[in-house]
Amino acid sequence: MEEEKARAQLLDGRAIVWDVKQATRLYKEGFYGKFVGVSKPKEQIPERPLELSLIETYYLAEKNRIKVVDGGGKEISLQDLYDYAKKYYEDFEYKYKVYKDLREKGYVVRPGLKFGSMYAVYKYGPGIDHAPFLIHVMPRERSMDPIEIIRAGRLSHSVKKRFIIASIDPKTGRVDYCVFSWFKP
Amino acid sequence: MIAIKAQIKGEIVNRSVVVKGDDAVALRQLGYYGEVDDKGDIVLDPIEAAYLLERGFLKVEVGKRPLSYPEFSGLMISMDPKFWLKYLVYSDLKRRGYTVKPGFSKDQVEFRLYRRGAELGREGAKYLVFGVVEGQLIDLRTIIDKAREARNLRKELIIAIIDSQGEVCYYSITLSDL
Repeated sequence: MEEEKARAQLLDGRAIVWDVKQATRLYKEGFYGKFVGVSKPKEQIPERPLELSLIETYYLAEKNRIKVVDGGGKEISLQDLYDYAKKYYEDFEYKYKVYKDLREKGYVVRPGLKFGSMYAVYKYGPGIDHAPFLIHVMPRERSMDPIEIIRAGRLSHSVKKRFIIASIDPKTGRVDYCVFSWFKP
Repeated sequence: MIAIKAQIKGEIVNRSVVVKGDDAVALRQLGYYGEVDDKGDIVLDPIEAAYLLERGFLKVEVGKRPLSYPEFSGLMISMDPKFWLKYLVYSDLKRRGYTVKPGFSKDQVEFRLYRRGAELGREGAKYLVFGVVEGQLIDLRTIIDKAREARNLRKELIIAIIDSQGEVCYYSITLSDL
């Protein structure tokens, strides 16, 4: 049974799926997006348009699961979308690689902003898992003050006493995950 | 324990403190300190010596005069700029009841940490402790390389973060594919 590809309209660094049936389907498929005006869906999935982040938009477009259109309804090519995303979102390329790696490993990847991280990652999904992993994305060459470790650790205290820094090996292109856990000797 | 307080004598030889004969036997009773050399003497790392000196177990003499803990520390600080940071981490772990040994790198704040009650010689260190300091930048690469090094040695990496007043807190770090 062939399902109609969802249509997402790109606007200012995000995309909206206006059709509520398509919205519901995308959300159910892998917890993509957020229903407009609903911060946390309860058991009942709301009949609302769905807002996709730029990263989700690109991922779903790359997977050929959505068709991205501009304000006038004209289809935007994958290349144009990529160029746009790179301009719009700081370090898009790098962050996207990590997003994709996590999604391909079967995780549900949600924005982590409200937790102070780049991603909040679930094994099964928000509302199902007890708490997400908080993932920070950082280039390998980034220098940091050790205070940043403590800061990230403190943020994750409320959810789990650990957090993860994802970075890409520049030689192999592989994503390495550094798991930090609070240690009490 | 009280009876042997300050009874163990050591002498400074080449930036280490050497404990000989009966003193070495007495020191062995106290715990796993230093390395035994081919003459059966115990060669203490300056950090270990400072800790034993502070605790009042060890007496280090120069000429006939015993060095106080501040004098000894001052001398060691002048020879190794990382001495104090090493001492902070070492003594914090010791006070918590661990056996701690110097790490593989002398110019970094690095230690091997054994589980509590470990029998040395029978088992290796469980952790590699790597010290970093507030205000001093560190690359993510350095941390990842250390975590890899620890994994190759079948140890877990612990990063010891030293704050501006010498307080230490710890994070364990493991590499994962998730």
